[in-house]
Amino acid sequence: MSDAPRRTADEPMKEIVVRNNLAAAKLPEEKILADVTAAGYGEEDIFAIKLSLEEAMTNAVRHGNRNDPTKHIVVRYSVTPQRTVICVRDEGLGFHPELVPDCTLPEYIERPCGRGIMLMRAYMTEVEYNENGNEVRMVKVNQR
Amino acid sequence: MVRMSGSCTMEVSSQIRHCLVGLAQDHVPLIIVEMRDLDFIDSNGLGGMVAGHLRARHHHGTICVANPSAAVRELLELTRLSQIFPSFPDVESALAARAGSD
Repeated sequence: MSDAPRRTADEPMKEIVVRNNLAAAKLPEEKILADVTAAGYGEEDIFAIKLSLEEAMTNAVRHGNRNDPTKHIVVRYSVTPQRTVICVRDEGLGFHPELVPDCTLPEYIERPCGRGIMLMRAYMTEVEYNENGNEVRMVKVNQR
Repeated sequence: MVRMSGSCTMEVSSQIRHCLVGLAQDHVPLIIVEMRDLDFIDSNGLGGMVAGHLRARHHHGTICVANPSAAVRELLELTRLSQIFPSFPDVESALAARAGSD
């Protein structure tokens, strides 16, 4: 049974399963951005989606799946002219996103990592994690 | 000067880190990251820049950015990294600012 939060039903979603490495993680990005471009999203929204997807995939590869090459990442997505919904799920144990420090605070600015979630929340319309913390759902409403 | 162009995504972030840390370790006093042709950078790339900054500071050096696009500038502002990477409209301005402070 899915532990995803209850919400308005998403449009039918496509699914891509990739191996857990940064190179393979590019495939969903290419497909989603192609659909987003074809759906008429503007440059700023395309940038936002690309950035958020990069961050989500990096987190899945490095933190969720702990760079384990035997694991996989499941990406589900739907793109309509009105909005784009992307779900990224790893095979890890999950985490508590609310415990991630605010990377913009002076004591954390010089950390080489820890900005991904903040950027996802800044650039996407909605960002939410499932109860386990091993799946993130992101929504971008077309600003055009 | 280091020129970043195209799309700086997760696969190339280690190259950024390696390049900037290497220059900093060579005691280069001012490293200008020229971003005129940089379309995209994510937190991995920014992390590489921060790693370079930390090493540069250790050796009393500085990293600044020149000619970032509006999107990259917004990214630097959102992450507050604009506070540690001075931004200039071009390389000449960065050099002039450095000369003025010497």
